[in-house]
Amino acid sequence: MRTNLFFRRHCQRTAKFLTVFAALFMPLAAYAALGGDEADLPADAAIAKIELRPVDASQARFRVHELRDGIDGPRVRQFAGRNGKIFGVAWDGPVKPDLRQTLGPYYERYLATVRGAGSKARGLRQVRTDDFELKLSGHMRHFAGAAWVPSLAPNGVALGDVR
Amino acid sequence: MRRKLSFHTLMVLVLALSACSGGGSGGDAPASGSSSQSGNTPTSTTNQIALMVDSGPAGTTTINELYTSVTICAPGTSICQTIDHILVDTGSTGLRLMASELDSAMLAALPSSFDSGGDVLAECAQFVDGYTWGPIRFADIKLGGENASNVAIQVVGAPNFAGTPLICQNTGVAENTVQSFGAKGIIGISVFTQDCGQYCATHNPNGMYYTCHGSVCSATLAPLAKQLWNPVALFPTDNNGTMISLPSVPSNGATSVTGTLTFGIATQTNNQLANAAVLTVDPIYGELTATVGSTTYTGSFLDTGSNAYFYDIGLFPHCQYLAGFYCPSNAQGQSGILQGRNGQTLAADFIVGNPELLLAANPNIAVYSQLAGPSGMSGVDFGLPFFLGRTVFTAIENRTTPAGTGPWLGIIAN
Repeated sequence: MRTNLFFRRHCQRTAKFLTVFAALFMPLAAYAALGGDEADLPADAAIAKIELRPVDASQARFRVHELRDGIDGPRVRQFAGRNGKIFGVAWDGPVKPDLRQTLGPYYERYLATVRGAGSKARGLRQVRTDDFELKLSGHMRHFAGAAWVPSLAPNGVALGDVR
Repeated sequence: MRRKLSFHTLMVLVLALSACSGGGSGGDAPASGSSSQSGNTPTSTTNQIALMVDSGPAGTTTINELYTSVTICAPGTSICQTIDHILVDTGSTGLRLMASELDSAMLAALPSSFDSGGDVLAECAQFVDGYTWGPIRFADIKLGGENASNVAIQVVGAPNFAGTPLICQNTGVAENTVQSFGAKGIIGISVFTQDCGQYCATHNPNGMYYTCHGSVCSATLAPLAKQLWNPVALFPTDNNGTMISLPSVPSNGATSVTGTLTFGIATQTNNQLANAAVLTVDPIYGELTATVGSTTYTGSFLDTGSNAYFYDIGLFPHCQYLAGFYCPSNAQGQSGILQGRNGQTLAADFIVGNPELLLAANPNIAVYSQLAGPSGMSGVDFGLPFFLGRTVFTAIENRTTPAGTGPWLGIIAN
């Protein structure tokens, strides 16, 4: 269970809406990355200005957790299957989230693909590798994207469900 | 500059202002922005500059990138420089120049932008696959006969400046060089007045603005007046939007084309709306709705800074070696309809061709109207190919035009 310096709060990882404001801002440093464990999601959302709310807690195939930086800030959704693994992530907002945090070990793979794409592909928007797919879009003031690891996903779920 | 207005001067001013249909709000203009209080009737300004699509600056080989030349001066001086191959981008806001392309005299002469505590303002400007990092400096911007004074610009990859903050690095690939960016700079002329708007004025951290003390940078709020502004919004006249005209190209592409960028909408004889279809966009993201085939995509947008039609359709194979594009074996016609928030619709059919076959036959092709690629999020990105064979007006938010207040997009098929 994670706590921050100024508040201690015990929260259940269920369909409960949690909003906690701390005296000091702490960076979005404590959420599970793509491929990581659902259990690593902050048990208490004691991070300033972040709302943590399981959006589709009753979903049969997977659970969606959402972190949002304020009402109009970027949001990051994490898709966890029954195996307790984050198989997909999706983001949307006026700026991009920390993609190294969001994509975990797959971030370097994303960078390598962009760098190897050549100068005609300015702004590569889709990556498809063996067990990692990513797509993104946007323009200044609005960026959105999604990524998933097919081998971690429940049967019958597609990348199109991760958004 | 403040001055007492005599009655005579006041009357001339009133007449001058009424002669201009391109009024600006100016309410949030930076304190040192250009002023129209000269008391003179404005004469016709050269409000048009040349655009070109070619294979890019030395060291790059680009396709469907729209370029122009921009002249900047150190504010109030004659230390000036004209830089070519500046990407013209209706999807972003503000002027950003690669430090590597600026003369040492220019680099030394551009004043820094400081916050109230005396620290230097810098920016992590986010683009689709990466970012530009560098300090904010002030420059006079001259485009044709239009001038904007003391404008905040970004100097990308400035030498001897604080390194990129980690959070910024974690938003994608660094694009701080001509090679990585595909241009010597970028001029963002979107529907927006500032590059970030209210989000950066009210959120800290906001991911874009930083204040640096020596080599240490921290996130900061950026009031509207401190952000990078759309240079067009700061012109004394012809400041309510832009008009981009580009010719069509044959189906097998072209090695280059030229077109025009005209400042102002219905402010002079050369930027009248005629029979343009006017489609309003949402005021937060500047987006509208598009239907391609039988699928409707909200969150769609027109963007000269994207070099293809980008949308998610599982039907088309991806190119084998040309990353990021579709390569169907035969050209595929796509029906398209744009719809503004005001309900106005416009046919926008296009063709998805095979750039690998095309470039194999002619590697020098740099303009191709049938270029499309995968994207996958909810909106269709109508990139540069959409602008070929069309005249597109971009009306700046809150600015007055005969077709209503911006933001809106106007389209005429050539």
